[in-house]
Amino acid sequence: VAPPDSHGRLLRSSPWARAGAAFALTVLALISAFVCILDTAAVRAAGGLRSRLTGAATVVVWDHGLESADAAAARAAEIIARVPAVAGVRPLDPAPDDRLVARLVGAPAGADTRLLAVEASDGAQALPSRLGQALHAANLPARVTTRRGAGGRAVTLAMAAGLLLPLLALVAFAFVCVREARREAVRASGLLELIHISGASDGYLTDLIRGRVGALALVCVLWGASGAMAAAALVSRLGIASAFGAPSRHDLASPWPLVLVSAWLLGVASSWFGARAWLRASP
Amino acid sequence: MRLICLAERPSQGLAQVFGRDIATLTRKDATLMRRRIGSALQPSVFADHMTVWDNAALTPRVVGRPRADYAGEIDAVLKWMGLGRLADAWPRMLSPAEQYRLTLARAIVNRPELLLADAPPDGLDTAEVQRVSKLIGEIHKAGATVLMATRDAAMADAYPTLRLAEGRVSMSEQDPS
Repeated sequence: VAPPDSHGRLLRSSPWARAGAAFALTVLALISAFVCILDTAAVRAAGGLRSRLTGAATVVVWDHGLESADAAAARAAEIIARVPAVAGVRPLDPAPDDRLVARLVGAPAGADTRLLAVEASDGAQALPSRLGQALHAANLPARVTTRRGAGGRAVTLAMAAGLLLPLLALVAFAFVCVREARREAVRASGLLELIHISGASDGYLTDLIRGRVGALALVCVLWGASGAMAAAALVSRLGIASAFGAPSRHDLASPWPLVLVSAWLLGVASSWFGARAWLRASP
Repeated sequence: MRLICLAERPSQGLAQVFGRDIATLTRKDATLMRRRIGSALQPSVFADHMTVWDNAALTPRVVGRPRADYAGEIDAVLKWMGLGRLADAWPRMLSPAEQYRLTLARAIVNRPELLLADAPPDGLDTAEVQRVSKLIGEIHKAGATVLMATRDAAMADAYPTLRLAEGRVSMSEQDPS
């Protein structure tokens, strides 16, 4: 008798029986990865804003008619310097994050913008309105903002959610894996008992279940990550998350090192515990 | 039988296998003891997605023996049980008699000291029952202690008998050792 070339799998593949768990794990992986991408974009945007929004106020000017952005910035600097309570004005060199600042303060999309940092002397509470009036009077298209630092409440909220949501999703991911390990054991209970009384060690049996749930978790993590990256790319393309900074290509990889690998490792570990608990309940 | 093959633990009373109280065995010791016992209990459970050969090889596989070490033994045991030509078949394609013999093959392939077997399923013809009896006799002669549960008086009378009636075990006049 010629033996088959390889052993078959000990536990039968049962995709439909696992569809519910697969769906739940994929959605959880997608949520945690997507939130992580948005959060990374928000943190990056906050860093960019911090470096651009300096001084007592920031003035954004843009090209207008025949006047280029650089010419508008030069003219704005002259006008601002004459406003009472202004201690100094400094045009900032153009940088990629200017687009984000421009969106934040309400400059028209696609405009070529320049930023000016304005320093004020004491008692300059009305500075923004004075600057706005002076620039408007000179027929110079501009916006004035006194925002500083991390880019406001929205980014802070996004960062908090970015920590909390993936954490909750990971806990739920682990819970689903434990439950799936136990279901897996119940589904194959007849065969597992046979393997057990045939002399398989506890470690062999738990590894068998852990391997199956771990493989399922890995596939779901990959699906979830793909879905999150696609969704983030869509968000970026549609320009939806402008308040937080649209995800860049680099942000798409951000969930991998921590969130997705953690999810998978947590899934493997929790399925081991689930299998172990089931086994402890047997003789 | 399920107590003896350590598929269950006694809720009360004393059950000893190989001289040891099975209620007090550690999990590791229980695993080692199971490897000394072959179980051919009914109803047969098979991995339906695996071939007859793979099902017969289940025991050495799960205890971690290298495949090269037992491949020849599986071939020999299947041939002995009259299943050599069916090695690549699926268990569900086998007749009840062949499934029973596959259960026996799987139970003895690791050369257990004790073989636990339920009687062949009802509905087998006389020739098949005799064939199974002969095989079990051969297994016994090969060195294993065989403990078989049966309602068939003819089969039981051929061997020393333990009778279980109304929860009590009584021994036949023949020495069962």
